[in-house]
Amino acid sequence: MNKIKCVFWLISLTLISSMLSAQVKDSIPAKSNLFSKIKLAKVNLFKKSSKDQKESKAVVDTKNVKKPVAREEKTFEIVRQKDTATKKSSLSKISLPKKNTVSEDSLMKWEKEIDLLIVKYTPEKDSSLSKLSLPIKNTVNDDIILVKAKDSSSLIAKDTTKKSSWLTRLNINKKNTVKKDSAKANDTTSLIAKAPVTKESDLSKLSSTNKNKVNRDSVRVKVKDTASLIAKDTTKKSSWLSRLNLTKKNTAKRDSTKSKDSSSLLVKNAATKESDLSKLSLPSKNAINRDTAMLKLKDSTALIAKDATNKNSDLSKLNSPSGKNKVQRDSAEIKAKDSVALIVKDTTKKSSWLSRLNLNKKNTVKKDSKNEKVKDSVKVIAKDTSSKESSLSTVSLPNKNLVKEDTAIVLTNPVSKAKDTLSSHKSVHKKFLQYMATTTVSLMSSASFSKQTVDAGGFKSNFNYVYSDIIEDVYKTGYLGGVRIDGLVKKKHAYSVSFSLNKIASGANYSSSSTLSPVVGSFSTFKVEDRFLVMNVAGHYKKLLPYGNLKKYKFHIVGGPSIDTRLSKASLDNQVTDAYRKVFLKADLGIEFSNRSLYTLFFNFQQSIGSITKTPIKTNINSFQLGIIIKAKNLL
Amino acid sequence: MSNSFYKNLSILLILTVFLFGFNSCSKDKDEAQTNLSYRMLSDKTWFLDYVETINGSSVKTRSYLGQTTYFINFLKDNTTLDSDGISGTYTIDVVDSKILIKVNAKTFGGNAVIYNYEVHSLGAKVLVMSNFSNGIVNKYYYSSK
Repeated sequence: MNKIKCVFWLISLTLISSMLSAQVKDSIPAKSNLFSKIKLAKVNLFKKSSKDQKESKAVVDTKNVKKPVAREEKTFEIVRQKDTATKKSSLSKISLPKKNTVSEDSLMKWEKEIDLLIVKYTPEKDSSLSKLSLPIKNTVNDDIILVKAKDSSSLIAKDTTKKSSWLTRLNINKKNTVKKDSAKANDTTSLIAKAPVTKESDLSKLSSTNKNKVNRDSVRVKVKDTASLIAKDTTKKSSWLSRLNLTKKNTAKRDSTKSKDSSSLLVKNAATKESDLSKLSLPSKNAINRDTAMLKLKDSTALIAKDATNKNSDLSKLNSPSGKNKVQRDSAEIKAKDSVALIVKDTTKKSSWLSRLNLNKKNTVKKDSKNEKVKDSVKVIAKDTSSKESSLSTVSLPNKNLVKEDTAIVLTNPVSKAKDTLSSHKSVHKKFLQYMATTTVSLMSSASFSKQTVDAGGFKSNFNYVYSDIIEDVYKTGYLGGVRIDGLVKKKHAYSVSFSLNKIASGANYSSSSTLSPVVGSFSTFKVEDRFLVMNVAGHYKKLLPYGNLKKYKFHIVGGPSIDTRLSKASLDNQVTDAYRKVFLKADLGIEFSNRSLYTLFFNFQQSIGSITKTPIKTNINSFQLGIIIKAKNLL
Repeated sequence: MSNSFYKNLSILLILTVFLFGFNSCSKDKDEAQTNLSYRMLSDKTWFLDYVETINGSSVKTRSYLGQTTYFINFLKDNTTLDSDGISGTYTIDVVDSKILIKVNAKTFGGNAVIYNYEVHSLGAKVLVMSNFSNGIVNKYYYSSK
């Protein structure tokens, strides 16, 4: 019987407690309505497809951002009416833990949890919106998170009558694949910028935790956004950027237009005196396009450069911890540069300080070669000397995992390389044009007279040539034709380079002979090659002779080396001996007569340097050339 | 596309010209010797002017200049006919840079006659060749008229 009584009492107690809990939920209809609206918006965004997400990104602009804010103002006014007893209201903690793929059911659970937290909420006098944490461990669409962040930040921004309100922490942790919508950051920053009546704003911490591969550019953009927020707070007396957490576990494609919109909104924020942004975490796990990030960086830095009226601004903490993946150090360095640049800009501020800059990176970040752009932006920032006070408390760059040890920042810009190649091409082209302007191309033709001198005393062969039959101690006539280029070296020294084909017919003078006793007579075991076809390449230095009327006639002494390459086959007699070389080296010396630049007559003497035959045969050839040179343009 | 590129290109072109020039013509010397020997020997009547008989260290020279002497014809069709009525064919071979003339002929009576000559010096007008028999070297000096 006792057992039955106990069971009965237990059942009755549970029923009573459930009824009481239902009554308590219905006792706060305003807050529940507020967050129910927010959640409905999240659910709608969550149902969007990838195409819808793109469309939403494209639609994001200042107008679209303002509309939901206006709607949230009404809801927030209702909340303030509820909190009339307290002068300073705050939202202490909102935790939305999710472990699996977010669905509508999970969102409903999430709403319930939030409602429970709101029920437990007890208004304090000096309380503020301390923490808004949205931890998500699995696949979550960014849109949902964005909407949440928007709503929360809009609530903060709409609290225009509060004297010292601040958004302490907004943590959005993501551990799985999340496609990042950059509009989120823009929206949050835009909402923050719209808080016109707040007197003290602090952006304490900017943390960008990355657990997976994250492009460095995305981090830059985030830093830019924060920096732009700071810079735009031109009339604030004691504003500070408390914390901006950018947790990233996946690669996220970033939309660059978002940050631009936010920065534009920030520019318009000139009336806020004190606003606090304690923690703003923007988790992103996907890859972010670098180029868009660079554009964002430019915009933000440009906005920072315009910051000339800040008196008291504090950048307390810039934390970008991202601890589990590979991150290249270069990105961290660039971030540090950006932050330092921000600090430099605050040199004239009265009471601004950058307390902490933590750039923890464990994710792999693709290296951006556009470091020069960052430098340029830093230069722009450094020019801002109107702010009065600034401070930098701590700048830490811890890297715990695989980090490339590129200690030196290598500024390798592909665009600059391409420009260099183009410039080199242009320079080569210019040099070629200059070369062609100072040179003349001519055609040359001449008759050549050649003779060889042979000493084949030590040469033995099975063949004999009667000396009286082969000896022709004369210059035989050949001919040549080719192209010649005349120019100036360093605009002082005239030269000519000629390419010609020579048909050489040469006589021969045998300096030694042999006998076949008892046969009477002299013989030679070697017979010269009396005809050649050679390609002649000659380079001559030209020296003007100051003789006669130089306006009408010019005489030049020319001299230089030339090379003959034998193109013709050797005769059968010389195929047996294979005595002749393929290339002959010659020295040229001559005189040229130029008649009013109409034509040029030349007379050259060529002497072979060394033997043109192989040992033990020693053969020298000398020739005279008498020809004419006419400019090619005169013939065409 | 810098200046060094063009310099290297020009050097490469020159080198290729030289290399092609060096490697373009490499004819077999033995074949050239054979062809040159045929060219010098054929279509000519060679008259015997001198005969040297070398037996060890003794050398005897006989001159037939100004006399009716022995002659031999080497025709282009590789046939031969001498003043003794011996007719046949001949071939020229080059062995170890030595020019060898082989005559395969027959006498009027139909007897086969085989001669092997080693050419010492061959020219358009003078032919010096020898044969070796019974330890005696006969060196013949011919001249073409």
